[in-house]
Amino acid sequence: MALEEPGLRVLDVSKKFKSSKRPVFKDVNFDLGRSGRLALLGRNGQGKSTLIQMLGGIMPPSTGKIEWNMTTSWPIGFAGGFQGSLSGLDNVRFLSRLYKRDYKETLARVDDFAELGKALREPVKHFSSGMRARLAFGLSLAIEFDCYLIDELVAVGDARFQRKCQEGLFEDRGHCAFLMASHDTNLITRYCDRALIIESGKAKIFDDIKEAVEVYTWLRAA
Amino acid sequence: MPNTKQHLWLIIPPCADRDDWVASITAQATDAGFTVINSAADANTAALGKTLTLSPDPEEARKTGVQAKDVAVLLSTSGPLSAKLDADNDPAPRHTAVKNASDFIRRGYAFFPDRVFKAEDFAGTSVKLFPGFSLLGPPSTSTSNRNRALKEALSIYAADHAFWGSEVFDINAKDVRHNKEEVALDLTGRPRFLIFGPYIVMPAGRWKAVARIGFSAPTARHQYRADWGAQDTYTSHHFRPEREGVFQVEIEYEWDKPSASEFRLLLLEGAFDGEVTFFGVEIVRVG
Repeated sequence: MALEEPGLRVLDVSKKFKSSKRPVFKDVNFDLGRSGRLALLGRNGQGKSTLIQMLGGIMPPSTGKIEWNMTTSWPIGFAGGFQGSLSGLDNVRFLSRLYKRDYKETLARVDDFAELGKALREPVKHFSSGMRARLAFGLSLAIEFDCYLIDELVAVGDARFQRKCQEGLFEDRGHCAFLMASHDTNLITRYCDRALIIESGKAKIFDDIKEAVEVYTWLRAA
Repeated sequence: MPNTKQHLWLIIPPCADRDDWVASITAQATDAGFTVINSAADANTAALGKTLTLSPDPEEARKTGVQAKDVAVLLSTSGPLSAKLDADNDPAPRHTAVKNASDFIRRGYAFFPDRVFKAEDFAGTSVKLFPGFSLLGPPSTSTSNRNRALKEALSIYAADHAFWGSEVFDINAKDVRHNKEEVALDLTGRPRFLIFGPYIVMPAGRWKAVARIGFSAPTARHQYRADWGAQDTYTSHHFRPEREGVFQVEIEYEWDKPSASEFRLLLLEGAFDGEVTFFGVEIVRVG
C-alpha cells in the first residue's frame, strides 16, 4: 500500500527579515499528516508566529518551500485578514464567496459560534481585539478546513468562550489536522502528538510530546 | 616415579572464547592422562587418579580446600562477554554478565594471587601450569571493541588502577557517535542518565574515579550530576560547566565490601541542543 502523502510538507524553510542580520530560523523541515497534531513551542520572539504566518500564506519564506496538500485556515488568533471598513456581515459575505460557501449558512454558523449579535453590522475596525478574534475563529470553523493554524488559542475571548473554541476545534473536528503555537503546556500535552521547538534560530521535531514539553519548560525557565 | 594422584583446578572465568579454551584444555589434559571434569559438582565423584576440574568460579575451588599450587586461574584476552550478550540490545543481561565475570576474576586475584595466568602469556608457546602439565592456548579470535575495553577495565584487580573506556558504558541519547576513544552524544531530550555502567565488581577499599567530559557551548549551561560508587549508595557531585571545553570530574567512594560499581552522568534539565563528549574514566585505588 502506498504511503499517504502528507498534508503539509515544509522543506528547508528559512526566514530572515531585511532589518535583521540573523535569520529568525533556518532549515526548518517537517511533515504534517492529514490528521496530525503538531505543537509549535518556543520562547517569545523565537519565530512561532512568523512560521504560522508563513504557513498561512501571509508572508513568504526567505528560502525553502511550503507545500500544502490540504486546505488550511488562516492563523486563528490572527485577525489581520479583515477589511476594517466593511461590517462583520460584509466580511462574512466576502469570505463566503472567496471560499465558495453558502453565505446564509456560513453567517448562521458564524453568528451561532461567535455570539457577536448586532455587532456584526458594525465596521470591523470598531471591533475590540477579542471581537475580531471571535469573528475570525467563528469564520474559520464555519468554512471548514482540513487543517487549522492556531496562534495562541488563549487569546480568544473569555474562559467560557475558550472552552467553546476548544470543543469546536479539538472535539468536533477531531479528524482535522492542526498546528498550534501555544505557551499552555497542558493544552499542548492534551491535544498534540508531536512538537516543533524553535530556539535560537534552530528548529527540532520531537515525536514524544511529553519530552518536548519538558525541554520547552526548561528553555522557558532558563 | 610418575605422579599418579593429582587433583588440579583450572579456573576460566566467563569470556568470549571460553569454549575454545575448554576444548583446547580438554584435549591437552586428556593427552596428559588427566580426567577432565567440566562441572565442579562432579568433582567429588571423580575416580582416583589425575583429575583436572574446570570451573568459572574460584570460590568453588577454594571451598574444597585445595592448595593454591594446584589451582590456575586463566584470564582470556577476549573480554568477558559472549557474542550473544555483546550483541543483545537489552543491557540488563550484559550488566549481569559483567558483574559475574568481574567478580570471578576478582576472586581469582584474591584467593590465588600468584596463580593467575593471562592468555597473553600463551602467545604461541606452551606455559607450564602444574608439574607435568603445560598448556598451549587456542588460536586467538577477534573480539568486539566493547569486549576489548572491558578486558582493559578488568585489569583493575592486577594493578589497582585501570582505564575504563567509553565503550564499557551505556549511553542514553538518540544520536551517539563513537570515535576512537571517546563517544559524542546529542544532548537533546529530557533530563536523564546520559552515561552509566559498567557494573564491574570493585574490591573493598577507597577508589577514585576521574572522568573526562567535553561540553559544547549549548550543553555547558546545563546542570549535571556525576555519581560514583555502588549501585545503591554512591558519592555525587553536582556541577554546571558554564563554558565549553573538556572538564575533569574526580569523585571518591569507599567500598566496605566487594560490590558492583557504577559511574553515572545525569543531565538534570531538559536540553534542546548540543553535544557532550565522554572520554572515559580513570579508576585509581586511593586507600
